[in-house]
Formats: sequence, C-alpha cells, structure tokens
Amino acid sequence: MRKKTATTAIEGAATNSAKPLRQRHVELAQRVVEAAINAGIGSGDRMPEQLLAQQCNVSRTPIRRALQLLAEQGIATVDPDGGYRMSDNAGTLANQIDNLPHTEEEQLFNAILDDLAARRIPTSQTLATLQRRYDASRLTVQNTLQRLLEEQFVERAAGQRWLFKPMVVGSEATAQSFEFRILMEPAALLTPGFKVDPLALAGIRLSLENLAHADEKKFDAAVAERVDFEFHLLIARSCGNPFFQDTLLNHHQRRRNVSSGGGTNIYKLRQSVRELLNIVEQIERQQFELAADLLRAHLRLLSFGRPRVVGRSIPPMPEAAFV
Amino acid sequence: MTEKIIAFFPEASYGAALNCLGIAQELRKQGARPVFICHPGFHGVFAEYGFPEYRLFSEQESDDSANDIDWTKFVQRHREAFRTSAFEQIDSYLAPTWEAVVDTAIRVEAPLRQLIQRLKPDAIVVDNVITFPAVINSGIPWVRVVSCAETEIADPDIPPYLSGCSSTDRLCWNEFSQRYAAAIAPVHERYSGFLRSCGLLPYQGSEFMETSPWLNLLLAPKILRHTRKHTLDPAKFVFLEGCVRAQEPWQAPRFAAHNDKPLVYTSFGSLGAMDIDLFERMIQVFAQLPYRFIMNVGSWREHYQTTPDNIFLDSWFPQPSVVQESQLFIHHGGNNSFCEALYFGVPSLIMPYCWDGHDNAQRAEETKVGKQLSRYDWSDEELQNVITSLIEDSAMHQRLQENAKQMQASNGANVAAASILKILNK
Repeated sequence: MRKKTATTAIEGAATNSAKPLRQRHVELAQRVVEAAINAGIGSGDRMPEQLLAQQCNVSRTPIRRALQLLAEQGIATVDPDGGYRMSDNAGTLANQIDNLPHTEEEQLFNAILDDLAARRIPTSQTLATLQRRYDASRLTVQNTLQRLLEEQFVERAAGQRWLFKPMVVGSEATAQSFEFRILMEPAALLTPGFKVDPLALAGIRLSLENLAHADEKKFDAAVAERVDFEFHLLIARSCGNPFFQDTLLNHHQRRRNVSSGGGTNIYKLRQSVRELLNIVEQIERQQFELAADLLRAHLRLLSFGRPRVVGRSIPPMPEAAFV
Repeated sequence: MTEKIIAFFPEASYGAALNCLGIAQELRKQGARPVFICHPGFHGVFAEYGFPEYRLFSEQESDDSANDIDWTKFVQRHREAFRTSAFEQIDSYLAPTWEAVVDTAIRVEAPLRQLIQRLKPDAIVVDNVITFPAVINSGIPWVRVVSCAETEIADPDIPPYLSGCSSTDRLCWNEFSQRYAAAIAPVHERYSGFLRSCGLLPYQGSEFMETSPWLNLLLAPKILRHTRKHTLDPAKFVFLEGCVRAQEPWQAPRFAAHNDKPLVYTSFGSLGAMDIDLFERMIQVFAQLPYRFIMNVGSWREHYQTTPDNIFLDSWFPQPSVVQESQLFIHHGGNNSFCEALYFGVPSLIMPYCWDGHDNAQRAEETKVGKQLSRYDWSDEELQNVITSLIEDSAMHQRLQENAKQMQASNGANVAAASILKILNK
C-alpha cells in the first residue's frame, strides 16, 4: 500500500524532453522575465543575454536555456537575426511558467525532500529502498541522488548508503539556522574582498521597489520570497572569502526546497522588503558597516519566534521547564 | 480629529490574542490606532500583524519572576488533571489556575497602572477572565471581551461556566456550582482583599470580573447561543458572529498519500500539544484513514521521529486559512477555534481537556454542529468512526455552510470595532 500511494508523487511525469527540465530552470526563466521587465524591456524588444545574465547573476549559458524555455511557452519569440525578443503577451503568460510539467527526476527530487522534511522517511537510505518507495527506475533514482549530492542535501555513506543532511525544519532548526545566518551573513558582507555585481544588485533593487510600491492586494508573496532568497544568495556569492561563500551557499540551498505548513505572513514580508531596500541602498553607497548592521537587524526581526507555551493569564513558561 | 488610541490587553493565550487581532485589524481600517499591552514573552505576536506592542515588564524583570515559580511542577500537575472530568478538575485544575490568575493580576497591577498613564489610551479593551483594578481606576472607558464560551456571563437559565453540564441537567448545574464555590472560596477571598486594597468593592458569588458599564463583546455565534432568563441589555452587550482575523490564503503541503482526499486539521492549542503520547496515539489512528491530516504539534515538533504518508506536522499554522480549507476540525473546544470552525462551516470534533472546552464540547453536541469525544477514553475504532461519520455527514456540512454564510456576512470584527468607536463618541 505504501509503495502504491508514494508513487503518486511522481505519477504523470513528462518523459518526452531530451534533457531534464528542472525546477531551477523554471525559476531562472521566471527571474529572466522579471529582470527584463525591471530593465524596461517591453513587447517586441530584444532580450540581451549579457544584460539578463548580469541582472540574474548567472552565466550566459543558463540564460540561453531559460530564453529557450520562454520561447517554448510563447513568452519570448525567436529573433530571425539571432537571439530572442519579448513577445506581445509576455506579461500575461509569465504565470504559466509555474504550471510547466516536471520531469520524473524533478518530481522525485521534490518528493524525497518533502518526505524528509515531514519525517516520513529516515535520513539513511539506499538506492533500492528509494526505488521501492517511489516505484521509480534505477536510473531515475541515480540521477536524482546525483542532483541531491550536487546540491549538498545528501552524502555517500558506508555500505551503499546515502545519508541525508539535517534540514531547516521545525522551530529548533529554524532558530539554529537564524543563529548561524545572524553570525555569518553580516560577516560575509564585511569580508575584505566583498564585491557585488552592481547590475545584479540593481536588478534586485528594482524588484524590491516594485514590491514596496505594490498595494496590499497586488503584493506578490511568491515574488517577494524569491527576491529575498536571491538577495541572500548574492551576499554569499559576493563575499571575498571562498570558505564563507561555500558555507553560506550550501546553507541557503538546504533551507530552500522545504515545504512548511506555516504559510506566509504578508505584513512581515512587506516589512522585510523595506528592510532589504535599506540594506541594498547602503551596499550601493559602499557603507558596508551600516549595511551589515541592518542585515543583522533584518535577520533578527525575522527570527522572532512565537511563545512556546501560554496559558490562561499565565506568563509563558521558560524553555528550561521542558528539557 | 486625532487618531483614537485603543489599548488592547488580551490574556496570554492565543485564543484571546488572535480574537483581539481580528477586532484591531478592523479598528485600524476604521481610522483608530490599536496598540497592544503584552504579557511577558508574548511580544512579537501582534507586531507580526503590524501593531505596536508595549510590554508590562522588561525581559530582565520577566526572567527574575519566572525563577520564583516552579513551572515544571505546575505543568506536571495539570497534565494529570487534563485526564479527568470537568468536575474533578475543580480541585485539581480550576482552583490552582485561579490562584495563578489572581497572582498575575496582583503582579501586573503596578506596571499596568504606569503603562496606562504613559499610553493615555482613549479606550482599553480587556480580553481576560479577571478584573485589573488599574483599568477600572484609570477612569478610561473600557470594553470587556468575552472570548470564552457564553457561559462566562452567568444566568440562572444557562449551565455554570466551566461545568460542561448539558443545558437541561439542572442537577448537574447545582452540584457543580456548589463544589466550585467551595473550592475557589479561599482564592476568591484573597482576590477580594486585593480589590479592597485598590479601592474597589469585591464581587459576589464566584465572580472574578465585572461586566463593563460601557460595552461588553461576546464571541457567541447565534447558532450556539443559549436562551437566557435575563436578557442582556443590547446597548451594553453585543454578540459577535466571529472575529476571525484576516490571514493570507494557505495552500496545503503535498502529502505522500491521499492527496485528493478530505483534509482534517487537528490543533489542541498551545497547552494541548504538550501531550506527545496522546498525539502519537492519534497519529497511529489517522494513518489508517483515507484522509489527509494536518496536525499542530506546537513546540514539540522535534519529538516526532517518523510521520505517516498522509500526515503533516508543524509547530504553527495560519489557523483560519487552514480551517477554511478543511472538511473537519479536531480541537480542544477553545472558543476561538470553535468559532473559526463555524465561521468557515466546518464540523468540529471536540476533545476537551480544560476550561470552557468542556462547555463548548457539550454545546457542539446540543446544537448539532459537531461531536465531542473524551480526550483519552476512546478506542481506535471509536476515533476512526467519529472522524468518518463527521466527514461523511453531508447534511451537517450543508447546514454549517449556510450558517457560515450568515456569520461571514454579519462581519463580527467590524461590528466589534464600530461598537468600540461608538462608546468613544458618546
């Protein structure tokens, strides 16, 4: 029964694409559309790879692939002179990217991470147990494990086993994640070699300004969360110390892809957008000390948890009571 | 016209806090400036919704005080009490809780007085079960919010508060009232002394709080309401059809099984989640059912090592949005949870363990908006059957959906906000 139900996670996967269409490509395509709009590229205008690569802080190869994806969806059109142009209905089609079919690997990747986050499967796995649970082929599981390995979610262990690393799930792990980030992220910003790509930062600033000016009903929480994530990735990538860089990028990757039941607090997200705008402004002014202080305050505000236990007119109990 | 400052002072429970948030959101829309007076450790909850918070004590003062109380023993004692009936809880839970409530009232008196002087609010909204003399003596118009069951405002024709007695069993009423009065007599006497020392007259009978001469708001939807012997003056008592706070839409996480099946939300409040053994036992039953289960396990998320494919656990959920998406809400009978279920037309399975949960569980059965089940005394089959029967009861679902339309149309939070502003203009 278990095997049968678990397979629903990867049922209906698209199998016709030559190369796997991964979530990150879809996300990059979404970022490309946002970056193009922020850069003032309108219907029929050319979509310069170099500009978009800088705005999205990636190389031109993935941009080319994202543009190809956008063309398949009708959001971009192939320019007979080479490259791509924004199509006439790009704005209305951008949301369709969310509905793209996922490959079997992509679905398995998400299903494993969801099940780990929900503690439905143990952190120690073998290829065979994963194959059985998800009714997937050996090749699919191998490819998925390879991606999980590349993205630092898992490591090889003795005896053909795969050991998944702790995820940022639950109040304790979330608090520990913030503890780590409050120490590391401002420090990364203050490393001597810190150098941010001005175009990438400007792209983030434009997205944040659009969000800050959007009224409550038009505020797009998904875009706000994505821009927030890109900002923190940019801080990590811009850091002059490769060890800081690696550690932070790994951590950001692992705190992503985790499904939570908590939902989104729009007020907090809007406040967070304003805080990020202040930080970006100070980085642009090269006021790194001030930017680091603001970043620390931003993370601390995000980290405030909820009361542990409350009772009728009774002050919340100290945590020590539950140890 | 200057902005009216409305100071909310909810007790340190999520039910009261979130109920006040619903009203505060409406007041803000209507041009007032709601602020929150916070119990120690409760800060952040209101700021998350954009409201200024004022703490009664500094962090240092809170820590010093917490060290005086052995909360571990306090909790351990209550955990056993939660396994007993409403009657048995009179001695084992209600009396000690009133002691703690009175202690809190005495302790916050001076800082509350100072804070009110500093804030100079135009009105104070108290959602609590005890009078704070600082509020009365301030001379500022104050509003009492009754976010517990309607039984909190006594009447000769309705069951006693916290008794869990049925509406018709007067023998039960008398027995509970007598036993309750005797058990709380010492703490009531102590509180009376405190009131006298603050220049106020003590209360008669078993009361710890007076009704406001300005306005009283009762979170008691029509579908649950009792018939009273003494009709409450509509100029001073306003019944609300739910004060559900505005919350962003919520999308259920993906489950590894039964993704297209009905959704059941389980939350026993912050104290109720403490009993991990009970939750583990429920999880085993849920795993056998063809439904999806969302469970609020409070601060104890880390204690659950494995989770079945049709269950999702987390330490917090945006409750109104989750209830809206659910086909059944299993809860402890907290009035806020109960009203949220009704507001979205969702049946309740109430498994009470204390306070007005007993009253609401009884009322859910009487008014046919859900069922009650003992918190501990059930077999796997009984729990499975009651869940299935509630999910499959299409007549109940339809009736609740029709009632929900009326509740939503009446906009309780809006009525509450308008009523508060009205007393300021008198």
